[in-house]
Amino acid sequence: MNDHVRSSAFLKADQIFEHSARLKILPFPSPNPPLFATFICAVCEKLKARMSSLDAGDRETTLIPIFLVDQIAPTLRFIEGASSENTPASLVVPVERIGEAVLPGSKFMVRRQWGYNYSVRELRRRLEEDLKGLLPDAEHTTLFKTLPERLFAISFPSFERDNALLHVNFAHEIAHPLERAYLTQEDQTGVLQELRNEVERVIAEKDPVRRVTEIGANVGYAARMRQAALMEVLSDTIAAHVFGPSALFALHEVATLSRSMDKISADLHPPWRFRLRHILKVLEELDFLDASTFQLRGWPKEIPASISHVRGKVDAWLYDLHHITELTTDIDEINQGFPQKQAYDSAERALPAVQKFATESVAQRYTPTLFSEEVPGLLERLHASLPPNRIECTLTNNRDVSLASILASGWLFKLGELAPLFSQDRHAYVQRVQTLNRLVLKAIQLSEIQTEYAKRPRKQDNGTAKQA
Amino acid sequence: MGLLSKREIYRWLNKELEKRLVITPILDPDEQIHEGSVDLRLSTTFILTQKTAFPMMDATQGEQKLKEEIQRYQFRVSKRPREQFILHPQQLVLGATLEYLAFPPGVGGYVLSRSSWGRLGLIIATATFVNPGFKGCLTLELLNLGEVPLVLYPGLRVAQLVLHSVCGKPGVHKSRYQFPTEPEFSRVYEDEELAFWGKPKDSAF
Repeated sequence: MNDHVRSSAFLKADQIFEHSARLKILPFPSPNPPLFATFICAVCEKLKARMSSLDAGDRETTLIPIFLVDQIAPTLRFIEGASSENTPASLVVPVERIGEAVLPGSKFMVRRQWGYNYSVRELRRRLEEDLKGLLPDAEHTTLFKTLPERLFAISFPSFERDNALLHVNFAHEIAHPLERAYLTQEDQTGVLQELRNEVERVIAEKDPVRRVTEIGANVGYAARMRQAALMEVLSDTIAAHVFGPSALFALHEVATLSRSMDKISADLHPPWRFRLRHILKVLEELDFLDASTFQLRGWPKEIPASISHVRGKVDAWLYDLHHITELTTDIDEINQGFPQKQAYDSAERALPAVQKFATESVAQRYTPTLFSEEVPGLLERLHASLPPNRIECTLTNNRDVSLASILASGWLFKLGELAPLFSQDRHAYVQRVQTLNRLVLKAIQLSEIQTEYAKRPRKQDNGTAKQA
Repeated sequence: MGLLSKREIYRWLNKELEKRLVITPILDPDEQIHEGSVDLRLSTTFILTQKTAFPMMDATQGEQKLKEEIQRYQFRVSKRPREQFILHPQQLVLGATLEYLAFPPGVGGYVLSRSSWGRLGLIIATATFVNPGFKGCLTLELLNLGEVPLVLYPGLRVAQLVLHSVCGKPGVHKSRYQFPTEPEFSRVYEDEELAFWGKPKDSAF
């Protein structure tokens, strides 16, 4: 019987190896997915060798097949979903670069998922821990030397592949792993004690008899709710630092798919209205928005005539959004609930610290100055059905632009020029949005190539190479 | 109608945006702009054919059917910069220019193989004319007429664009290929008269 178990495990390792080896040769937009596929192949090889060396009665003979099926096989979906065909290929490398800047020492894979969600998941840590008991220490160490310290898979909704503008949400996901760093430096004991005091006080007022049994559960629930609220706000804040107003537009697009703007979700995410209100405040503090007029700042004094209408439409959109966030139905709902109110009161007090932490975590942030210098020119290009890859005054007088400006120009064009078309001609609207997506993705591709090309060594007149 | 000289090409490339001949990006103007032509680079996406999934190409079989067949017949491959794409002898592959072009109404063009690559057997376009008013990346029909496989890389200057001015008052260009940024497969099925020429039933002849 044990030999049957061993042979079955051996076959499973072999099959997973075959799948991983086949996936490894797919075209990928970045070296990270094939790196991970190679690692999975190596794990399978090591486990096959291990199975061969074990005695029939060894405990590992039953643990290895379970590990293969539960832990290794499901990781193949991350590799498959990260192929060039399945991803917005030109956006992948710049997104990975943002991730590496926010989380030094980390690598990222961008992959599609069929569920409608953006999410992030660390791939290394759990495999590393679970494999410890299954492989000799030396082999384990050698194996994991081939992987970066931390490897994350960022997932996006599959059918949104070409919707480059929505992928601004990648910045939010990249920021999630910072949660642990934030929580480590927060006084957790103090926070929990404060929550406990509040919970105790309310329970004592409501129903003194059930006090003892309910306190622990409610403190835990409130702490989780508080943490979820702060972490979403932290990630939204970082997204706003990285991408400016586009972070608001992308967040709003996801929020519109929600059944309620006012409810805390089942996984304890804060109400969308709460998040939109907060990100508006962050953008005001970063000087992208005018707090009194709710208008976008950073436009140059003279806007080219071809795109002057965009400003008005975007400001009208922001004005509407301001009214959405002015409503306090989410806060009312929170205040009526126990222990929601206690959790959110505590979260509210921590928001300045979260904000400070977020600001310190982003080394390179998007600024209103950059917006002002780059976006109007890029909008002109989109208006002329050109990719917003650079600002070209003349052939030789041109400047490369930031990824954040490319995406911001796309968003402003969509909201300011294309959105009004929807009520007039829906077919034309869909076609124009598809064209916009193509132009933005093309611009990102060209922008990357332009930057790399500019770094190449060039021949001088005397035949020696010089850096461009 | 006359061939645009280097000086004229520069003049069109430097006009105000609405009237400009746009070729973006021209990574190295000194290397790419010649007396009478502009070198174009190879992009990253290719359309290959999957022969075993497709018995034959009959463009007259009806738009819907042909669309479905084409989906089966073709597949796309993307390459990263500095990644090889190998074109085998007699293999036809669709590629695209890296550069995005926008032709003003007063300029048309022809896309041709660069002679250095032609001498190695690489043909890059068979449908070579570019209409005035066209906007997008040009689809290149890459064909290796040589006897050995050719290793191509995205970014290589494989094509040249010969430009000319248009005589008379130019009209508005309408294309079935709207603002492409990648190679586009044939849409010959959109030719309205195809059914007439290809459909044997109810034939008047």
